[in-house]
Amino acid sequence: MAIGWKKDYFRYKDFFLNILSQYKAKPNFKKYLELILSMVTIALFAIFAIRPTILTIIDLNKEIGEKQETLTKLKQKIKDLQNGSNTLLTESARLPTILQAVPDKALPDILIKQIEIIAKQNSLKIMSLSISDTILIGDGSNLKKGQEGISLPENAAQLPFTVTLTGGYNDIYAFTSSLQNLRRPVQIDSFAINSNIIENEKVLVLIVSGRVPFTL
Amino acid sequence: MPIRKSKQINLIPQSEFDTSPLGRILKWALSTFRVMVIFTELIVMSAFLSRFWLDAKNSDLSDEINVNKAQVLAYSEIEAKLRMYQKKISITKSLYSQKKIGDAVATITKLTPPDISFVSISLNGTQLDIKATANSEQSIAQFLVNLNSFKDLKNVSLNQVGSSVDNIGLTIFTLTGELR
Repeated sequence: MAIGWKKDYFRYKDFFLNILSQYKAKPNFKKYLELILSMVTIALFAIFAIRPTILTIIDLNKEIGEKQETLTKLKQKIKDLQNGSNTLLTESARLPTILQAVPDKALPDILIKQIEIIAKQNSLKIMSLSISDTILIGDGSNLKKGQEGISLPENAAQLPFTVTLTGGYNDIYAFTSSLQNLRRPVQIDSFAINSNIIENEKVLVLIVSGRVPFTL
Repeated sequence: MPIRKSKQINLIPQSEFDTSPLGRILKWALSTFRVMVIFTELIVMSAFLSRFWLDAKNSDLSDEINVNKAQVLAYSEIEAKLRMYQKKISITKSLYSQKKIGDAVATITKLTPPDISFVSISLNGTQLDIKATANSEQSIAQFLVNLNSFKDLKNVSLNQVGSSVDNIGLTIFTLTGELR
């Protein structure tokens, strides 16, 4: 270690202590002394005085710019929230309709009642009506996912059902239209009309499988 | 007219300062270096002074952001409510904008020639299957042409054609298509 240190010392001693001899030896040094001094000074001032100052100002300006942007977005958000709040107030009478369309719970009893009513209105006889797996209580984390095919919009929770009815063609058509125009929107996954013979009589059988949305 | 004196150029150093290195350095320090120091000081001082204004502005902005944040926080309940309603409206809108199956079936019925009777019509997703009987093959061909003209239906194909077991005069056939 000591030898290495001494070696470096002698090497660099020549560089730093022989400036005067170098200056005397090289005529260019003599001619451009002022220019060299000026360039060294400019470099030193630029690195140690002007650069940190300018960097500080740039950083500060950047911070101010970011804060101004944040403020603009916050103000816009407040404005939007105020508008939204006003809309909630003006539309308060119609809001329960949205809650009826997409309730916060599965409410299978209401869906069954609605299907029964439109079947009765259209003179159709319900042969079977079943409700598949759904979330009645909880967040549905233990329910198998993807069992009903493509998920509903906004990944909403779903209440699957299957209904089998018999009746005339026009009644079936009217029932289908009513089902698709229910206040609670229905995603129909499969729809089949079959001509069957029941008790020696030719009847039309409608089988509809669908899902209605709700949010948790 | 007086005789004009010609200018003389003399490059020989005039003062003693110009002859020695120390003198040249001293002369430089009192002229160029001084200007550089003043210039640097001007920049640093202007930056120092502008910091007062920039810091004040920064601080004002921070205060204003905090006030606005508090306002947004006060609206958090309304925001959650709005988001909930927006989600419900979006679900409803996209489900109501789907094709009405009843209308599609009604149109298919209108396009059916009078001697064709349906055995079954089923729709699974967008896949439409029709099983029907016809009195003649021309009626089946006409039905196919009619279905192809229905713009909500694509890839219509005739899959099976055969005689009915119960009534030999009837042709039983199966059609498939895809609802758009």
